Amino acid sequence: MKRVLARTVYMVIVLALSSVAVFYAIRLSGGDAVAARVPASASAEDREAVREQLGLNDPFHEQYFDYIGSLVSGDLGNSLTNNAQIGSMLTEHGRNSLILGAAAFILVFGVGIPLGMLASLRRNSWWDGGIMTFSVAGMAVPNFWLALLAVWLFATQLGWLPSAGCCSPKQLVLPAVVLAMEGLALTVRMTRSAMLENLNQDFVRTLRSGGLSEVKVIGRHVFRNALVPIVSLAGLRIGQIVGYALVVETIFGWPGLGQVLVNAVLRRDYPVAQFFSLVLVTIVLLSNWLADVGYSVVNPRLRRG
Amino acid sequence: MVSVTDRPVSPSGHRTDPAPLLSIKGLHTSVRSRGESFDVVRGLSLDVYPNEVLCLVGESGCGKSITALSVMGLLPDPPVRIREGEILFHGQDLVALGNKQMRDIRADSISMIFQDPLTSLDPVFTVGEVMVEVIRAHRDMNKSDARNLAGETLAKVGLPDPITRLDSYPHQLSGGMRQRVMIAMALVLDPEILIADEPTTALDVTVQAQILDQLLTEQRERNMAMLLITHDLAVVASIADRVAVMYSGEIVEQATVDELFENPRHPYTQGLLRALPKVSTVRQQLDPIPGLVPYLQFLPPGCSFAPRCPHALDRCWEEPPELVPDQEGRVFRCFNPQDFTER
Amino acid sequence: MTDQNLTHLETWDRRQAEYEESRRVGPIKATFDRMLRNRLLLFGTVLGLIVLGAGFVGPTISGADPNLQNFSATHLPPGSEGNLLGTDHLGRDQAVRVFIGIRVSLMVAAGVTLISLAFGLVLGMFAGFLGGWRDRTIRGVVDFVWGFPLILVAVLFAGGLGEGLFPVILAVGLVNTAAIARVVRGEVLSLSEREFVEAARAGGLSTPRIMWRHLFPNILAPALVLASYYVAVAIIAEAALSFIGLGAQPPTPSLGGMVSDGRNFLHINPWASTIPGVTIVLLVLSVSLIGDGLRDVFDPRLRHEAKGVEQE
Repeated sequence: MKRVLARTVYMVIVLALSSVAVFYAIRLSGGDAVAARVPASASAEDREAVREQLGLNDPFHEQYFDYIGSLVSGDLGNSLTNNAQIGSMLTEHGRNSLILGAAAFILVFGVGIPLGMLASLRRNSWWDGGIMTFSVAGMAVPNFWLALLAVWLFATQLGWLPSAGCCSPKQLVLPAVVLAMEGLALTVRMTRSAMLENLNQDFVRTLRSGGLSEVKVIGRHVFRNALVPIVSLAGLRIGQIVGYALVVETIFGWPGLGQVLVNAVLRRDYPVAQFFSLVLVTIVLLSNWLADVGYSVVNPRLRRG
Repeated sequence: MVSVTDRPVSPSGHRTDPAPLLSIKGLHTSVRSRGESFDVVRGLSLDVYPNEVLCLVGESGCGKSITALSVMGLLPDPPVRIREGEILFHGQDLVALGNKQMRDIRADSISMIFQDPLTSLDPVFTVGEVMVEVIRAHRDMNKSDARNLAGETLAKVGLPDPITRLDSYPHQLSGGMRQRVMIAMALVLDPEILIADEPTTALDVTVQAQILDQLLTEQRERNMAMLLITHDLAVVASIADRVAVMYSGEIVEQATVDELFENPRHPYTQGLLRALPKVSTVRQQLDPIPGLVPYLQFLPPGCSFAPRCPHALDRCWEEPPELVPDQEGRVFRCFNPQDFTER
Repeated sequence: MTDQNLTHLETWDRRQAEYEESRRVGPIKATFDRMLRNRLLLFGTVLGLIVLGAGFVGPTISGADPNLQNFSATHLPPGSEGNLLGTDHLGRDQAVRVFIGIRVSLMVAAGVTLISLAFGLVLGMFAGFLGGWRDRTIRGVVDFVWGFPLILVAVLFAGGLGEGLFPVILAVGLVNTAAIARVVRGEVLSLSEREFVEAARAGGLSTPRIMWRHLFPNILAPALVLASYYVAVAIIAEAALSFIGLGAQPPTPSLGGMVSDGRNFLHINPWASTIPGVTIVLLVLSVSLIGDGLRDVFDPRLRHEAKGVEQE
């Protein structure tokens, strides 16, 4: 419990510090934002007026607290490019990203862990070889190229699945698989090696000497022990899904948070870039925190005697 | 430490005893390593009688633990497996038994405790969870009854505060407490035989004596047989009824504890006794056995102890001696036994 | 002891020594054997040399301009006359562009590795050796950075500094620094408990001297092995960012950018994105195989750490 509390405090502090960092970083590009708003022929006074209007001339800490204040009041402002309300962008794109992220999460853990277990239990068999080859390939092929291959094969050649768009189940398949692939490959490897490591532990022999069935010894005890390292790195896996979502959503035209952020950065739409950077940073920090809490649950060694 | 006189006058000599409870006959257990296969237990035969404490003694790597794991059917296969031989328990050959039947025997009829109680307990489950699981694998019992039985057993083996300890994780217990948990887990179903593999080696000296004492108490109260594996002759002297001495995969001498300590016949046993420091003598010189244990992959053609034996004859280098009884009925494996002198 | 017995013993000792000899493998031969047996390392090295050779020598030999457009020869398939790997939608020579692209990838990788090795070593050694609040501070920052997805960090940098290779190098360098610092710190902690460091301390050597003379040489090898592992991470990240338009800016040829250019013409000329794509995979594969192999050969202990590496 104490550990969870400590991690929570840490998370809040880090969240505060990173919001300052993100705010500052994106504000650096504020000059570009001015350029985007005024014609190239505008005079220095005009530019200055826009700067003043955007609040770029206030002291940094005032700008920061103004911004946090507007976040709290829910007045998130509008996009510079299409004048859309940032608040409604969040709900709409957030929902889309949640669907894609959840599907990838299920693939990474729901498919990765069973595959890893299968490989470890059928060690050095045809299954093991196949699964591990797949896993190596999953890590070596960059996901953006995998996306293109998948589109070429399943959309262009076979015509089974649509190549882009949102948000029918059929449209979900390719982006979810591509987004999950690397995490899936890593989870398979980790599960396999954690299972093999724990299968060789002394306690397995003790449990067998107690007359427990293999199903219980492996399915319950070895598995629970193998889960410890997997959960401890689950935060990274989720963070990875968030990071790759930037690429995968862009490729598949999936209108999620990642696509919004990438477009905003490319178009120098800095209010949008700023807000969605903060959103994604918060999601990453929250998922790290959740994984940390989960780790305390699966690893009783962190509890005091 | 338990004193020698405390020992029960249970059937101890092998000549007058009833039928053995467990009978190992001609056991060969082999290991496959780096492309070659060789025996680590070489034709071992051993009987365990009801109610006795039999000690299996020898240096590390002589095959003691492998023998115990062979009985339990817990060899890490591959690379270790039983190549030949029988292990009879109530007339049933354990070697030929299926997995399911072997599981029913473990913990219920034959139990085992291991050397390092920290690594031997599952770190992510509580003591109670695992004990309940073991009980319910063998008895048709609901969870709360099983938990009560587990608690009672923990109390019996001297674990302080047993009911709260049911909810402890192994890392929350001291080394001695962990070993008591292991003992309770092994005894909770009242087995007929307990195999203890170096149960005190990983513990502090003071705790060692307590644990041995507890084991001996349990053995007597439950009328069970105990096969204790150790390299420590002090432990043997304090607890054993009979002793079997192992060297490079085979038994070289077998006798009652008094016979063995009074008049060891095999030069290896003699060497072990000479290497033992005596408390009585002030500042004495220890007398180690010269040379090294031979590789099991590459044994001498004759007696495997010949390279380290001060009394080896030509014959000892040419043919391996058989395990034969002398006039008194003790068995040992030597062509040229000498009378034992302390020095 | 009888004389006969002595003779027997000598014979036996000799035979046993022969047996031992037959089973023994010298340390140098053992390392060499392991390298040869490690077919993956061999394969990775050969593959790596070919790809590297293409990147360094290729453009020099051909001397062609990677940006020369030829609208009468667009979308040529590989093996066309004068265009070994064909041309793209602007009629630019794919071979030359792939060669330059490899060079760009390697430059980014080199920059990232330099940054992350230098800062990672320094931070990790200070944290591990000094301990106390300094360790806690460094570790807090490092763990925080390490927990972040690389791509997101890079996008944030691009958001602040604009697109281009420079922010990419900084972002990937930052995250990899954290990864290397973590491992170096762990190594230093375990080394600090070893006798030779204790002995140096007891001998009254100053802290900087112990760090430089005793710790650094012992940590350099695992850190280099680890860094070679992160080269792959850097290459993939650069390609991905160039692909979404935040990395190398046109007309600089980059492998990720070429895949992106080609994706609009998948139905007429799949080669345009397949060739750079395969090149990335080969590059990544050879670098990771070399990293894997080096780790197995020189530092089997790092196998464990590598689980941490596999996160990115």
